[in-house]
Amino acid sequence: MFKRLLKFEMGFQARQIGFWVVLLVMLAYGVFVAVIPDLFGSGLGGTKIKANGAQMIAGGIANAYLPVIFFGGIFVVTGILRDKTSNMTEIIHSTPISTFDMTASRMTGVFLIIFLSFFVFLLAQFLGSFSPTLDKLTLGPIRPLYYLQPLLLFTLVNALFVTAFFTLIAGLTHNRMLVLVSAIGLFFFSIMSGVVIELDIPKWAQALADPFGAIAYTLDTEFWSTEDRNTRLTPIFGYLGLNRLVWGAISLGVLALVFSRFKRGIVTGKTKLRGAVLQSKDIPEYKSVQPKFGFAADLAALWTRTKFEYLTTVRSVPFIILASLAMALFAFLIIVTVFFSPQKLVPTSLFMVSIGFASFLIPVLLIIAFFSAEMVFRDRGAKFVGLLDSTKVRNWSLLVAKWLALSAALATLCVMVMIVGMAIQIAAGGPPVNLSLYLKFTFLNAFPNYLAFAFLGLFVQSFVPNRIVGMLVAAGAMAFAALVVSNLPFYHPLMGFGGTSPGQVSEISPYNSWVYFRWFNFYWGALCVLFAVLSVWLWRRGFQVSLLRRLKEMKTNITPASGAVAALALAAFIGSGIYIYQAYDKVDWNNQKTQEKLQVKAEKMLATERNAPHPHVRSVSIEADIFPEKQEATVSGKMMFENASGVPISEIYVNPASGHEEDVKQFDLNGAAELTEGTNAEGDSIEEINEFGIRVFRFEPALEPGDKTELDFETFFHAPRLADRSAISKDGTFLNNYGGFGVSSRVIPTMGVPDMRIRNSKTRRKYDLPELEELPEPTDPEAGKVNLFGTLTGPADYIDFEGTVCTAANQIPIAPGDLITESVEGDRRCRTYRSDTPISNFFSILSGDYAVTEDSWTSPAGQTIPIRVYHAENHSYSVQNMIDAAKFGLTHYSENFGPYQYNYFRIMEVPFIGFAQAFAGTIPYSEQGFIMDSGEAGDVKTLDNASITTLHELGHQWFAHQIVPGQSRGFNVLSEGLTSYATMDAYEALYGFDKALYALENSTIAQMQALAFIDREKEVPLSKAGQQQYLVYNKADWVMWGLKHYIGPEKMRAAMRNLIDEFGSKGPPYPTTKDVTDALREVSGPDYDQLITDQWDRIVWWDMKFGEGELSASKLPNGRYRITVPFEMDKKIQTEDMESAESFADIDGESLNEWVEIGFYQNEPEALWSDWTNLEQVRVTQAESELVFELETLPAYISIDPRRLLMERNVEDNVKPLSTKLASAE
Amino acid sequence: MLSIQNIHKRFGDVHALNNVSLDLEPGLFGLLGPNGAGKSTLMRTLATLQKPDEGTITFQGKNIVSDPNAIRSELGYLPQDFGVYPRMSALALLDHIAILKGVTNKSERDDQIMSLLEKVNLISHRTASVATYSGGMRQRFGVAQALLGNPRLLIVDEPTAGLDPFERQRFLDLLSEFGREKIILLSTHIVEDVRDICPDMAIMGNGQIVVRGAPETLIDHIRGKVWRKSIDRDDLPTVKEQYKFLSSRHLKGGIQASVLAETSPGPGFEQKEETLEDAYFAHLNGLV
Repeated sequence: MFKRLLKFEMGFQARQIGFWVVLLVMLAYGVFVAVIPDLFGSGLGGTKIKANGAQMIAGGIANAYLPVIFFGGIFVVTGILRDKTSNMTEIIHSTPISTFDMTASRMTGVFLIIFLSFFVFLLAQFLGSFSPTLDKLTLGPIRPLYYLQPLLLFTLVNALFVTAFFTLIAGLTHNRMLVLVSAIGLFFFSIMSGVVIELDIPKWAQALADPFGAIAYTLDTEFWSTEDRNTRLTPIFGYLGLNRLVWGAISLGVLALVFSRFKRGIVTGKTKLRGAVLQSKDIPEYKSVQPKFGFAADLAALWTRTKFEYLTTVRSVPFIILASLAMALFAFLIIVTVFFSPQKLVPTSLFMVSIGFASFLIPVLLIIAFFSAEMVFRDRGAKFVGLLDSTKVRNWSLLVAKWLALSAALATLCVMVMIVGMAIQIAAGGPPVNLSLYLKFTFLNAFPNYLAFAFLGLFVQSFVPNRIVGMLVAAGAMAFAALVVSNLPFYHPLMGFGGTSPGQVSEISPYNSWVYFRWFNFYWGALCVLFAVLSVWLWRRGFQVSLLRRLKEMKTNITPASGAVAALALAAFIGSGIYIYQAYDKVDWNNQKTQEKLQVKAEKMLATERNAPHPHVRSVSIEADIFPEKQEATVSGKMMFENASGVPISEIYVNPASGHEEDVKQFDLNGAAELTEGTNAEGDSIEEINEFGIRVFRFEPALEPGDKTELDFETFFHAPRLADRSAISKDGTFLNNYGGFGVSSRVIPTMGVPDMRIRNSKTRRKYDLPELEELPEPTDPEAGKVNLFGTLTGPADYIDFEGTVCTAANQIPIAPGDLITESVEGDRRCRTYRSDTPISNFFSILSGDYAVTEDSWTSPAGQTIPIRVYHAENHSYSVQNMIDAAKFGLTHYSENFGPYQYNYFRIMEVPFIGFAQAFAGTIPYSEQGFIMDSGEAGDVKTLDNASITTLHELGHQWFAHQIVPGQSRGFNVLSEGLTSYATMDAYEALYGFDKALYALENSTIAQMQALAFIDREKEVPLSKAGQQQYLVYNKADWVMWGLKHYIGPEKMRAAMRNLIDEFGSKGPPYPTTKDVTDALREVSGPDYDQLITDQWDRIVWWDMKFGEGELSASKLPNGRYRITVPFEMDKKIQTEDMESAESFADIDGESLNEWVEIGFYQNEPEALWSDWTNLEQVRVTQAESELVFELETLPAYISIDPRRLLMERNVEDNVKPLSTKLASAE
Repeated sequence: MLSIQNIHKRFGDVHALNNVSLDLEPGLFGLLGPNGAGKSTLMRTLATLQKPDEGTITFQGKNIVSDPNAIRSELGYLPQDFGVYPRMSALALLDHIAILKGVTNKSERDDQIMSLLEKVNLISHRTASVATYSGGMRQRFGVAQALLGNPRLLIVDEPTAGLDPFERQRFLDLLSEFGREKIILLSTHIVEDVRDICPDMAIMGNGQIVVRGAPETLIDHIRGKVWRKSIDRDDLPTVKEQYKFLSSRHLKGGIQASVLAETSPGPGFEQKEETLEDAYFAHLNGLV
């Protein structure tokens, strides 16, 4: 019987349109993941991690739970609940079929279909990987097993779980709505379970939190090397195995429960029939009531319907469940990020809205998908259409009511989120609630976007056959609009559906982009009105409502009024679209593809010009007039140049500070004439060069070596325009002379052809560009000639700087240098700054309505240096930490590395940026950085990012501004790497070893693992690192931490001091990583020569663990203890020429000769790593060895490399308790 | 007032309405026909829930096919099968529908709703959720909602199905009461409903109006021509073949067959008093 039923079941499902939709979606999804991985897959495939490597495929399956959840719910509705929905319960359930056969066959059917859909997904992905369009360098060998093994490992249990879960809900409630709601609930849960990885709970518990196994898989693979990731099959006996076992068992248990409890027959509900008894004399006689006509009556109907739709929605079980889940997710994520991440945060209103709402987007989209379909099909679902549609109610009243009600329901959700956010903020003792910020963000940034998506979701309902398809199509349409469109190569802002934000929200500055807000709201609003009118025309009225018929009869629904509204909306949409398009066109906005093509053209055309000698900047003096309220500014000034190239220069390339020709008011280069037509010396068209925003000047006669010239410039910076943001913020303006800071604009001209080359090597291959030519090797003598800032702001060494900045009287203007004069006249405040110490050609100008917290520091030479933090009045949470860190850092660095070069140190809070940047003595620091909770100084398990960042940016004053890296491979290590070392050294001196180790673990190493994983390119040794953050910041930090603790901090500081003595503040030649390693080798001695090579010149990971033998202790006659530690060690080596890492044992000429530290503890080491009773260093030369120690005290725990001096991925096997059983002494 | 001219409606191969024409004036009009005759299709078409493929329908001179709103404001419709929104009381739901029908004055609306609830005997259940009503109660609710406002045309599709005899009678009385000023189109397959209260009626079969007239007139067509005989079960096919067969029913172990004939069709047949039911079968099967 079971077999026959199952066969019927499969046949039945195969007759459902949903079944084929699912298969088709999975097929397409699989093909897209393989063929367009950047859009649909992880996009991580590169020369390092292969797109079809074992982990990419397995990880893809692990994370593809989203479709299973939703499709599973639909299959269960069809499979398990169809009796009720098709009114067949009485007939089917009264047949003699056993409940077991009936339910088991249906569950098996659902299970098989879910499994099948995944099989199709993988098969499509497998076949797709043969596509000739793919970039071969991102692919490894094709191995069917990479697909098959995870299919079985993940999908068997996941399909079983999904079947069991939904069957349970279906079996207990017999309510298909609740099954669909629980699908969304399960999805929320799986998002929430993703956060457990942030929590400090045992890993097995983390692995079990996620029923789909994705977290377990992450845990199993977190220490994998690149080779492992490409070639290793998912381990069966690990966290994933445990997860599969437990969830498989739970699923089977649930299924058994459902079998035993399955409610056969009709489920009865409660009935309450009797109302209050009325005396019949109170009841009036029946009288006909003449109905009212006209617009007022229609409005009354609209109002009644809107109230009804809204109340029905928000009182419905699905809404209550989904809204509660969304709130729970929101609260959960906020609580985890605020209180449980290593860096605690202050729960300010800004944080609540900006971070909190980010977690709210996906739940809201799901809620919209669910209710847009639910509302449109509500009357049909209730079989109420017969009554409803024969009344005189207008189609538009019915439809508009639904649209208004969904909008109101979303507004309700938003208000609920606000209330939850405010409640958490108050309960957590956060700063006072900034209600206006909540309201602004909620109803200007978030809500208009939700609203547009809601209207899209409602609109697509006009074209779908039923509610379930409607939900899927709405979800798909929104996902497409929100996630896919913006990544298309031909994306234009006109395609960014619902994008209407007036700009980022800030507690410092009001919104800066109202013109954008107005136009885009108008544009999308018009489209939504058009959607609404079309929906009215296509409204389902009565019983014959196939799409084809409605399309055919649409014209009969067009009334003069609706036609006029549609025509107006269409005209508004197209008209504003054209206007917006023109606005973007006017500023030469390029889509990704055009932009890439332009870059390719620039690279090819300007190959010679890019390397042409240009004069060096020697001094800059500027006058900046900033008008914050109008968001306008004029920046004028003089730049003095000197030909330091050693050859005569006749043609040069200069970049004005504005791309708008009309805004460049003055641009005169002394002794040179601007070329506007013809060709340059290379034969390239001047006009084409001008198109890149570059101007060409010719010196006649040529500028001889040592000759000077002067550039006089004046540039106007306009208020916000539709397609063109303003450089000026209403508050917290941040300007600079380098164009690479996103929202912070360059306002000073630069010399030389900017480097516009495409850096992504996959994109380069797409355009048949050769591999990006590398900078000179660190050992190349050419490397020292030009410095780091030359690549950013044009050729320069140190410059003299003077600047006068005027702004509104309530704001403070800031520039580098000593404050010379300040004047306030009327509503204008002007300040003149002049730097008496030359600065790098890298500076910033700021203006903001700041509160100033002041302190000072006295240098060893007795000079008093003022320290000022400019911040928003209410953002003083970490200001004292910043000041303390600045004072501590100034002492620490000047004592150990050399004097601080400026007479001032300033930190300025800046809205809308996500970083801090070290300019000469002036540090713009993001607003987000000012709402961190630095925690208790004595709490070693917290991060104090305010201090770390302050120490880091202060450290740059030595490493970047004194030691200026030469333009060679690895140059950024000299800036960011050495600064990271200095920061950690100061942080350790400030807070002690344990807090520093916590920062190393939770910031440096954690970030390195995460960033290394998402980097596509093959790793290079540290000494040759390019822009990879995980190398130049994190790896440099780690290896220097290791070396420092091996050789002692003093020697390390001496090495840095030597480097500064040799190169600091001197101009060319500039140092390279070769100079760094030389300095390190010099202080470390030959004993650490190999370690420095391993750390800097090749890629080496160590792996250490306790050996097979017994860890034992015995008491010696002298009262001491002998501890025997079986020890295993491996060293995986990869040189620049090797494709992958190999064990030292497999490489000829390699041997093991490493210093290893072993720590002995009385207490669990994790509690306090520095709490060792002994810390011994041994030289290990064998892969397997027995280490013997003689100690005063008997340890309870032994830890390998407790200070994390060697780069090792998996340290979970590095601690072992010593069993107290003592062997007798011999 | 209501004029249906040559309407056709096809669902694929099924010709559900085949050239139907009817003119109706105020009063109760019964539409009698077997399952699948096209009664509900006709009613839904009149209720503007679907459009005819061909033909015209005018109400008070206005074409309601092209302008359905012309009739909706004058319409009370009780579908054969309808559902309601969950968790809404009869009061709330009637209030909701009344507003949609244009009864926007609150006190008028409240009065009318209470009087209707009284009329359909739901007054004591008025605050209970309609979704929890029994079949008969729901049917009575359907009647109440159809009478909201001032319907000039009342379309009731199989209204007495599921009502107990007492409620059925109460309902028919109610219809009769309103039949004086409204057009009431009552479809049913229960012959007695029509015979008791409808002064005018039509019989539908296979999508066509077979005959129209007062019940008495239809009976007149067969007066004195109905004959009855008790037969064996095995003889039924022969009877059906040999005579103008009307109907048969099991009676006390045997079968009683009715046939139509001008004179006695043969031995054993006895003349019986003709009923509307006999007229119905006679017309439906084309025997007159």
